[in-house]
Amino acid sequence: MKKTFTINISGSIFHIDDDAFEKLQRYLQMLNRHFGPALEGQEILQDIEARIAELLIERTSNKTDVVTDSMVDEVIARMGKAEDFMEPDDEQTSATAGADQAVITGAQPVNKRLYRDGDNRVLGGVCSGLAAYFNMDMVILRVIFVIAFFLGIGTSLLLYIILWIVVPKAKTTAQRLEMRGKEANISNIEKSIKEEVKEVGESYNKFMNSPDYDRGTTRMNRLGDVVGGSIKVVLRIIVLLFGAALIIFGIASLIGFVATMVTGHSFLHGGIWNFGWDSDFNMANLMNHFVSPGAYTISLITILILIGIPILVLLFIGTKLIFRYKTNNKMIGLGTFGVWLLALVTLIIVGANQAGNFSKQTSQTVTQKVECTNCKTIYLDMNDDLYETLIDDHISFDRMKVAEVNGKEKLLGQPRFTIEKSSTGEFILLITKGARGSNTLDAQHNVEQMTYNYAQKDSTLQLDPYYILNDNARWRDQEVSMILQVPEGKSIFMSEKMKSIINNIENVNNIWDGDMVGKYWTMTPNGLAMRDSITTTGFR
Amino acid sequence: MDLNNTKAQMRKGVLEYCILLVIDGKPLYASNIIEQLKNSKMIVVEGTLYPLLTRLKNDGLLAYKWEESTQGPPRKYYELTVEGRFFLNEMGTSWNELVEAVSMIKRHI
Repeated sequence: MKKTFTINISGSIFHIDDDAFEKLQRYLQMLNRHFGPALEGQEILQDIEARIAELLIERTSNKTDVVTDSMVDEVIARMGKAEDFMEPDDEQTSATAGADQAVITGAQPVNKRLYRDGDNRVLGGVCSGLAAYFNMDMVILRVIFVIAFFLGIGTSLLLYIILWIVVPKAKTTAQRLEMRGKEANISNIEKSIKEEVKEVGESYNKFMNSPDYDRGTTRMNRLGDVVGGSIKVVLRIIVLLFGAALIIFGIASLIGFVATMVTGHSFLHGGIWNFGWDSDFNMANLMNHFVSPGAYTISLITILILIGIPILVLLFIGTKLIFRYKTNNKMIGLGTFGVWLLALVTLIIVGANQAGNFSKQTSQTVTQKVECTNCKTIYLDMNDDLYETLIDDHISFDRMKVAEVNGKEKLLGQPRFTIEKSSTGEFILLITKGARGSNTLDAQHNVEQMTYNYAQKDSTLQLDPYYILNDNARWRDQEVSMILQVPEGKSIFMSEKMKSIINNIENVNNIWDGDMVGKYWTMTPNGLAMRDSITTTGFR
Repeated sequence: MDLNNTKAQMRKGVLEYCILLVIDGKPLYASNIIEQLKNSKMIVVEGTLYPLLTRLKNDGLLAYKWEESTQGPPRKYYELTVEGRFFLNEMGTSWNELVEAVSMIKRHI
């Protein structure tokens, strides 16, 4: 008793024996190759399969009859080999006929390809197709997918959708046969590699045991076989590894990217989307401070597309390398590329538009006399840094920082502080606020959105460590710089805390900014000098 | 010179004309068309027909509709479009001219 299979050809069910099955499979595969994956070719193939089904129905008088080898031979004889089809465009036919011949004569194992199985589908037939590919029970695979989804690995849903889009559905019988492959083996990939290794080994042995060592040509040919075969195996392994690497990399970047995009929205914080991902870098959040609200959403979407599509393409190439499925839809590829280009153009336009928000710079200086009629020295001190623990360490633009205050985000910046010689006999503090905007008026408005405070208590100037932007203000290259003008003969003392805002104070001792704190400095005709280096005494 | 090849080339040239001729009149499905073409020995293997049918359909000369069959799956019934009928008439004229020309040459030999 021969082994029989049950197959579906063009909607009719047949029982077919082992040999006949293999023959029919080879025949259909050859036709499939001949007509190609384009729509027209697949339509022709479907028609031919319908005819084959019809001829087989004629030959099996009732439904339980088994299709035999001779029946398949008859059908193939009636239908003819692809090269017997009289097709007018001769060049193409002869070219493909040669290839067909090679397929038929060469005892190549039938390659498995990944298809979606439309006959056993629940959604898109992805699981059933994968199950056919790995020769697993499709129920198990579905359960794995569903569990993976509920475990919070949302990527499994995404992966499913990607596969749904890129993996073609098995439409013709030839494709359905290709989907299952010939062997009932779990690791088809491993097997095909082993077969290739064996082939190489055999040709190597042949070469070594060859009796006609002196016949150089044969020897060279055999050597060529061995080398060629080895290269083939190595290449296949490299391709598989590369594919796997692409998939792993693709999934990792996808998870990272999605996490980056979503963690900015507080309602998702700590939810299943967090993946235990440390929200080190937060795209959504970051953008918020740069871009005006309308453009914000658009740029977020375009960035999603610009980065997301290449990642998906990586995943696609990876799966394609491993599973070797065919894709016949150029439109999807072109469409995807089109969308990507559109996103790029949109981002550039939005970017240019946003850059316009920085085109004009303006500043506003407030001059304040520091009362010091009876004192010799002004003490410079800084208020406590209330925001130190609230500042997000991961974001900073230039000297500006983001702090979270009572759930709201605030932009803060460190001012710059320097010292000059006063031309009058008075201590004078100049505070300059600067910002950019789309025009001078806008820039002026942005300047007004900044607050910087200091206070004078007797001879001590208490400076705030930060200037603060009003709510809803965006980063427009704001800065605050302070100049304290010190009259000749008077002194200053800077506390340790001042270190963070001191910016390039010239002094005759050539002491670095950071080392100037905790010391007394006196304005001399030559500039600021450390008091110890001045021979005069009697200060304070 | 390969006789079989030349014969095949000649048949190939008129095959599309013959298909249109067979379909002219009433809608037919592929197996009917094959039957007639085989009876008149126009085709050897059945596979020849399907690429041609699809191409004629894609060129707008043929159209098809699905019809249920008593046995097996639904069938595609092909018929001529207006364009197909025009094409058929044109080919008919040039075929007659060709036959005329050949027989005239034969007579004068």
